[in-house]
Amino acid sequence: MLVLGIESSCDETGAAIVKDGRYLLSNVVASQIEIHNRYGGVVPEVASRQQLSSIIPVIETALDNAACSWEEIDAVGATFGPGLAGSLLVGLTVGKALALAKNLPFVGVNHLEAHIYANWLRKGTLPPEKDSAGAPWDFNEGDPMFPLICLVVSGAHSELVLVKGHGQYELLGRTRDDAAGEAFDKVARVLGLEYPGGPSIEKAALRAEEELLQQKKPVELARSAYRLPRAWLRGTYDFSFSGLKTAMLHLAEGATANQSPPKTYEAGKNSGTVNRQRSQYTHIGMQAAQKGSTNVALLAASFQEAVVDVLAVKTRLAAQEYHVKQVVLAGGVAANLSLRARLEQELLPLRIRLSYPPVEFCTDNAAMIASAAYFHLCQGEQSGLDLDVQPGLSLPFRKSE
Amino acid sequence: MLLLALDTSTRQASLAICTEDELLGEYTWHVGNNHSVELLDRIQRIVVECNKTMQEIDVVAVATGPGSFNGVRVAVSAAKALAFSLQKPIVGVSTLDIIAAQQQHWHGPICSIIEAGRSELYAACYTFDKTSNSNGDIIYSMYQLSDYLLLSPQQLASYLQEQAGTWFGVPGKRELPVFLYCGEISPASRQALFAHMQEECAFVNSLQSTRKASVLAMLALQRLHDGKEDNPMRLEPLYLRRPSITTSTRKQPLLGGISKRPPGHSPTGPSETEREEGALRH
Repeated sequence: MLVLGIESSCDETGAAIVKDGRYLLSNVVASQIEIHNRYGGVVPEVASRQQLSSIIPVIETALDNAACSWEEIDAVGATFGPGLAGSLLVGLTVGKALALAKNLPFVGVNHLEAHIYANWLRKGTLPPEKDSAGAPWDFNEGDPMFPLICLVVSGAHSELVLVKGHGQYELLGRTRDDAAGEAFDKVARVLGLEYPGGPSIEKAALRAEEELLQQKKPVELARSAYRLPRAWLRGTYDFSFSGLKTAMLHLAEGATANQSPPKTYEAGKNSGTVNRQRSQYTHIGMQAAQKGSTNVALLAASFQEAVVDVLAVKTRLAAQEYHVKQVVLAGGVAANLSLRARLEQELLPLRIRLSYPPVEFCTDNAAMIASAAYFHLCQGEQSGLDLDVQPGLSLPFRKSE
Repeated sequence: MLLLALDTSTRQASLAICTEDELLGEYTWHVGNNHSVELLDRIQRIVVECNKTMQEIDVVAVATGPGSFNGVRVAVSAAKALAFSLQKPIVGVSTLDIIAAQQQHWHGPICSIIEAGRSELYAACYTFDKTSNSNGDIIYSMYQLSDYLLLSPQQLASYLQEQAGTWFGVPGKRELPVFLYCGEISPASRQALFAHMQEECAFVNSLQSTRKASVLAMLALQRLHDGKEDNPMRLEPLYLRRPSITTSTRKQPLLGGISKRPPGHSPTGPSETEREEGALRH
């Protein structure tokens, strides 16, 4: 079955054609990052206008790349939430209009669920030669195995979800304030790094580690250059990143207030603020400060470590409690290599499989929308043409038994 | 030739299906903010009621605004998707043109208006010429006198009084024609305009200036006849107002260490500037 997926929830316009929810025929994404970089975040009205300009050319390119005609398409899927209302409206309306024009079944897709289904997509694997009609829709060789724990981490969401089967989600924990990706974006802005914050903080952290490597020092020092708080919220699987964000803000403010932080301990005697700041430096941070560098790379490395630490440990704890054999990552932050490596480290001794989508399926894309739409269609679910956008949609959680 | 016309520019929506000679069906209704929910459903219904199929549609016409940003985008998205997938031409018509064309019998200047919020108005000025051809058919031709404007009611009134002289002024005569105001005009705007123009203006009552998609269809057919069809890839709404972007001082970077990019500088050269201008297009 060929599904045309359309994604327009935020600042990426995507169209993709996916066979049987797994095999990619084409995946086109038009990003607006350069435009929004200027403002340090997405401007909703600008994003909506750009969505409308890009969407038809993107769909045409997806059809061309897949070398596929309308007659071969079996269904249309489009994101209906969560996201920015104006952006969602464009993709959803286009999706519904295409389904109407071509008399195809239409499925509205939950963007969060689609992020989870990104784990079902194969990269570079062609659809099986023989007709795949023989294989059952719900399991093919290489699919993730239920039950599994999914860590959804993106610019708007940080959730730990227990997935017992297709469409069966149970919420274990979620962020109480900022999402992980949001924290990355905001901290990047404070540090003067580019939007989106995730990749630029990761790059800066790598630079810090390379620098230490050249000095023949252990790279781990970069990650503990600053003492940053971690909100463990013990007894729950919830997250909180706003305290960490504030700590970063104070550190950065301290660094600008006196361009070269205390050279000696005497310097800190007179003022309370310098004292407080000093307490947040560990030895390596202090050394870097003395050399007069602005420490952006070290700050980024320490911040990334603090986020990854909490995410990885809590995911491991959940995996142990619910005895799952597999953990999957979803969402833009799943592209972070440090998070992947750390989770691998946590889960490997427990013989729990970790899988994550290739980077291009972690960030917003339409292939995952097509995949999620396929699994809904296989369960006999379709949407009407009167489907409305739901900017505040969450995963369709079931109460735990 | 079967034409489908869509207009969801404001809280008032309309859609029609017609040929050159005959209106087959038309819905005009109060849609509120439910543009995407109601439009596609109604298209499906009207096509069935007219005993047609989507594949039989030959042209798609759409109102391109100005109006509610999201409202305009719904009709334009739907029209672009339909025209693209059915591989049929698309014709975009400004919502202000549609409002004016409904008053084409008026002898004199017509100013069509849509509330733009923040005490401002979208407006444009037109005049119509009545001629008849050899078969005795009356033909109205529309002339647009002004640009598409975004002004406060006071500014609009002064602008019209200023321009009227150059548009209609007869040397030695100080008398000016009466402007006909039509469209979606709030009581407050009406009062402000009336206070400035007094006997130089007349208002069409709002029920009478409800936009009908059959008028959009008529304008679209004329444009199609003149060879002025649009490209479904490139058709853009007429926004008139730029997105409002507020920059907060809190959002300025505190440390400038790594970012080599001063604000406003583009590393990719003209392509980015171009894209940005595209995004901020009026």
